[in-house]
Amino acid sequence: MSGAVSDVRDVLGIDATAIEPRQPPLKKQRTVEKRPDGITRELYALLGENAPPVAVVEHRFKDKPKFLGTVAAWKEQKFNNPARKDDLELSHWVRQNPGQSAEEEEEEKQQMDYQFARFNIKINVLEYSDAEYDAVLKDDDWSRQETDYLFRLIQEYDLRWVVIADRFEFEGKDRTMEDLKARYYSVCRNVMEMRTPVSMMSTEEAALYNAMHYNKEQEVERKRIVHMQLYRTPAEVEHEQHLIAELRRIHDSHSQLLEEREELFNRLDYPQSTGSIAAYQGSQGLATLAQNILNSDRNKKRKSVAAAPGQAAEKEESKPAAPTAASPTVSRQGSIAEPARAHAHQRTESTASASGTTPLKDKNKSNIKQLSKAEEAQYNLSHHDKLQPGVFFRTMKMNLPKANSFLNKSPAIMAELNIPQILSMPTSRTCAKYELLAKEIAALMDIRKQLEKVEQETKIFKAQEAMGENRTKRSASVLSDASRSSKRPKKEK
Amino acid sequence: MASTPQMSQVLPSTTKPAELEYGGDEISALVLDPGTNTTRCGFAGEDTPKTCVPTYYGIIPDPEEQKFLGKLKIGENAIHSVVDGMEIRNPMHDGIVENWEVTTEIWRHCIEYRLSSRVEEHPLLVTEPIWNPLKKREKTTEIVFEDFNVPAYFLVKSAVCESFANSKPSALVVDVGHAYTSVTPVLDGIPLKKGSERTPLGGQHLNNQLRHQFTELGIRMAPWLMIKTKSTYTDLTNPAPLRTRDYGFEPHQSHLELQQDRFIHEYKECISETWPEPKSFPADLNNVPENFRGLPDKAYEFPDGYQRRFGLDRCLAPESLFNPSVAPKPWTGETPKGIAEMIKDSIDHIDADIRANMLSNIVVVGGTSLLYRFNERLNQELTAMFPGPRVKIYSPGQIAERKYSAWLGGSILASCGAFHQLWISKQEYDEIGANIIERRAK
Ligand SMILES: Nc1ncnc2c1ncn2[C@@H]1O[C@H](COP(=O)(O)OP(=O)(O)O)[C@@H](O)[C@H]1O
Repeated sequence: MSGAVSDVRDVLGIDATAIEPRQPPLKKQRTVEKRPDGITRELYALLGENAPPVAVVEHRFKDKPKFLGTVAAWKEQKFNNPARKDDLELSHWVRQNPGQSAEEEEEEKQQMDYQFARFNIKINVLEYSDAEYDAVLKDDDWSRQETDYLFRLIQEYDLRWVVIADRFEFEGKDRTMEDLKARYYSVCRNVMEMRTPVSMMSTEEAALYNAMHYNKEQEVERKRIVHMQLYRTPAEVEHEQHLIAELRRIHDSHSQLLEEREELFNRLDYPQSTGSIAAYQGSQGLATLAQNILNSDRNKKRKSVAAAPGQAAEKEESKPAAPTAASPTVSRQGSIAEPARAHAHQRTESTASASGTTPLKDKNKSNIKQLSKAEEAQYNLSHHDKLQPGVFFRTMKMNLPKANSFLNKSPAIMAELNIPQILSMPTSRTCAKYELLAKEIAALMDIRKQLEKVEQETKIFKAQEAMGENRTKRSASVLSDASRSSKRPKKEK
Repeated sequence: MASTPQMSQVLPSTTKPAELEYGGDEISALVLDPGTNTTRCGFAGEDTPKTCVPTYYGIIPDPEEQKFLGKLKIGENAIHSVVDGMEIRNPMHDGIVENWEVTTEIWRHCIEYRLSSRVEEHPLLVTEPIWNPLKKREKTTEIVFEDFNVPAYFLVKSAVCESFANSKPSALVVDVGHAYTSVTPVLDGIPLKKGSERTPLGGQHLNNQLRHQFTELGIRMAPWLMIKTKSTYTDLTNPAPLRTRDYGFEPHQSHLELQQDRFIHEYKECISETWPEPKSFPADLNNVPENFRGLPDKAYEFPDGYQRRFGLDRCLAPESLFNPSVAPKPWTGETPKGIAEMIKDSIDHIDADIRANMLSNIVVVGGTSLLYRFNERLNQELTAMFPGPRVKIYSPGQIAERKYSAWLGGSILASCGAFHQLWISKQEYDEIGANIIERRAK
């Protein structure tokens, strides 16, 4: 910095000595007046100098942190481990309780067992006496010494068979783990059986006795398979993974199918929806289900309310007409909902007939919501006497006149009236109207027929009358008239 | 090892262990892990050894001097200083102590000089390889009680320590050390003898291979200690003049080799690399196929100033760990098995039911496993060998943990409350003698 300054001076041609180095400005001395005793600092600040209160910073190190209470002393203490057989004394550091005298400590130490001694756990391995060995445990392959050695190892390694087989070395004998296990379990079984005959064993003993059964061949075979499994070739592993993926896919789609089926059954059979669907998975089950629904419908009919059939047509109509494409679904949903309604209805009725004989039933009744007519219309509910199973077109079920003459002539009349012959929206209400229309058309046809007949007769009578007056002159015209009138129905035919 | 404490439940690292669950109880024990390259020593309960002393020692043969026929030089400073007539030797062979007098001195040096502790005040835990014969174990016991006069002592297999250090009660421990590579299955803290394998493929093997490789190339192997001034050059046919220090005597050949090992070690750390794929390393490096995807070069400067770029040839020595037949220096005896082959052998020797468990718990430790991409290669070898079961390698990420795993495991054991019932006390030794080790620590 000073170098830079002298450079600038050189450039400007100023002699360095000509300028006195600037004195650093003296630090302003701040005089702190001593505040008289008895006046608080805040009050004092309002009076006098009006200098803001300044925190006095002392230049010294931070205070030592103040700990609560005294620091506990730690003491190196010797301890004995009861898990040891000798009396080795090791020492560890323990926290001293302040205010505890040395004698108390000593006492406490005596009472407290070494806390880790409880991890010294030994398993109970069966022991056999000489007599027992001689009685049931003799084996051509296994000497007494070897059996003893095996049991020692088992005790030592806590039945860890892998380790036991690893460490087993007896007179150069080559024993596999299966050999060792077979021997151990047979010894255990024999001794147990000898001490308490199987029939006298308690359930626990019997369970243990049965669990001790060891099938050596099976075990050897299993190990062989495990070994094979370890050394699969990459191709085999890939194939296996492929198969597993396939299996999972099948399983997934199967459960999806089941789910869908269950959902369908839930809709079909409201009261039984909580039950298992297993019964309905076969075609036979499905048939039973259909039969059940049919029966309940029949029951309902027997007790039916008089109003039911008439209402049905009206109620369903109140819903605004859905677009044409959606109409089949709408109608199907309606018909699916209907049995449920029928069930509910039936239940209400039966409870009504039993009229409060049991409080429980009463309660049931109140649970079922009674819908007003407007609400029923809103929810598009309808009541039916009987539903045919299966899917059908509503138009097929329409009650139209069957007469041939009607079938032949109605299209012409419909055309005349400017009504399309096929219902574009066969909701139950339009169907009902259509039925009405058809009936009226039939009536119209009848009336027209009658009219024609009457007209014909009057014409004949008139003609006869005229003939009486002017027989020769007019006969031709009457005939032509008659032929004309008789021609009309012919044309219609 | 009969009732080694059960440690089968491993706590997640985020939860604080309960007082008893943590199970620690410090009794200020010492842990000593004698390796071929270095001897590690420190206090139980700490996470790294306090001191790490070279196991190599210097000796000035002198029949007059009574102590082991010469004057001993122990410790880093002593063995790396140039002393007339000093030979460098190693008291261990194949991971097993051969020269007890020197080993005792080294241990004493570790504890009394480096740790400034008094041997007779602390229980002592020593690690040993699984193939340590009974005689040596008895000898260790004798020295520890007679010479050191320790209050309590125990011998643990280093493989067990290594699996504990990686918080696994059961694991297949692969220790790639200096003198050997060993594979040991450990089940619930008990090593399985029948499944354990070892080969001389380790750090020392790599040193020899590299020394051979460099000599073949015509590189002057003068170590740092011998160089007075260096001038760099890149042309081997026209080398810069070698200006060596004049000590007034010729250092012993073994000393030179130890010094060479120092820069070879550096080379291993920064230049050597394991070829990551099994079986694809080109057999002939002078004749690499056209389309072979190689490696970027890395440059290294030897102590005498020679600078060289190494390409694929820096994979050659590490490759010989997996595929010993490519070793630059021909094998004198039988060609040993590669490391992956050895693991397969070990797996074949253990019970079929625990094989899958072992394969999914492979613990890889030891200094040489720090070779770049070593674990990647091992993983590829093993997955190719066992396509079916899950193969999972656990290897500490920290360099210190990798090198000192055995010590760390010993430190955990010796500070564990439930372990204190296992110590062999002086009293027991006095009653039964050195054979107590066979009864108590199997
Ligand atoms: N980063 C590294 N890269 C390659 N080799 C290493 C590395 N660090 C250490 N080594 C080698 O590891 C060996 C020491 O391993 P270590 O496990 O300590 O052996 P031991 O237990 O037998 O003494 C030495 O040969 C050393 O050169």
